[in-house]
Amino acid sequence: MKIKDCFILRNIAGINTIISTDSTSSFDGMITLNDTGVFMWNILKNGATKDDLVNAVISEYDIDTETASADIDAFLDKLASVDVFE
Amino acid sequence: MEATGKTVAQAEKYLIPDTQNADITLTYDSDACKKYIDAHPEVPEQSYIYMTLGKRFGEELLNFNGLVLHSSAVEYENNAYLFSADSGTGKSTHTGLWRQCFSDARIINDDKPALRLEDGKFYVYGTPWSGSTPMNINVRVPLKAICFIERAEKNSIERITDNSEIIQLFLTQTLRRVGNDRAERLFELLDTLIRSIPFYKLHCLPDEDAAKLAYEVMSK
Repeated sequence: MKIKDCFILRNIAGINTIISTDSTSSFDGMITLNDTGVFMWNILKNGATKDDLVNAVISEYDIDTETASADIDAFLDKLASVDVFE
Repeated sequence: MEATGKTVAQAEKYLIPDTQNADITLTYDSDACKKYIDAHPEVPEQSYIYMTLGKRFGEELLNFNGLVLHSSAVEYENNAYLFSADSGTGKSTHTGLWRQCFSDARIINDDKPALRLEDGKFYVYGTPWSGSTPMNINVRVPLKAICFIERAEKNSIERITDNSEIIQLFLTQTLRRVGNDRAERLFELLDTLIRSIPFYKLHCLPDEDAAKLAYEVMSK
């Protein structure tokens, strides 16, 4: 999975904010992420499988595989629903 | 500007004789224009050109530390106050009430004022693009505060402390689909803006008390 190039992420006054900058995504709103979300977003920006993501998260954070996997599923579903992925 | 008709008429007070050294050149695609007019015969060609060039201006301004906010900008005591909301909410009504209450208040731009960061401070500018009315003046005024308005049963105003809410409200009233580079500029500007000026939310009736309340709080 890879995030479309039209998305940018930036911290604006403490808020990690994402928008699509053109119409290659139909999403016209904004997304805010916490630090873990940003961590995962940056991995997906370059392209990654779900397993890559799970491995990265359990290495970086003190969390077990099952919880990571469930959280990641929820995160990916949310992103997919707003036309984030190529 | 090569455009004729409405755009030039609204731009009259901004025209300068030197057209060779423009910082920004605005163009529109005549094929796209023709296609749009054919599909929307109720829209005069001049209106299409006016809107398209206004949008281009907003996009180009991002390369000059500026942006356009969909709002009505009122100037009073050399401070600019921006009232922003979706069309039809009552921005112009509200700033019109400022003029009723404060005789020296002036409308800088009734629809799409420009904001620009210069030497660490934000200024509000009139532009030729002021929506369906020609209410705009060729001035530069320091920005004092920005306020998002909502209709309500009674008047109240509060400072918005949640930056996430400010960002959400702001982004819906400015150009977003401007490409990656310009969007980066937009985000940088918004970051500086949030750190430098206060944002408010006004719940209001279309009456003079609302204008007086807004002034009382925002002018501090």
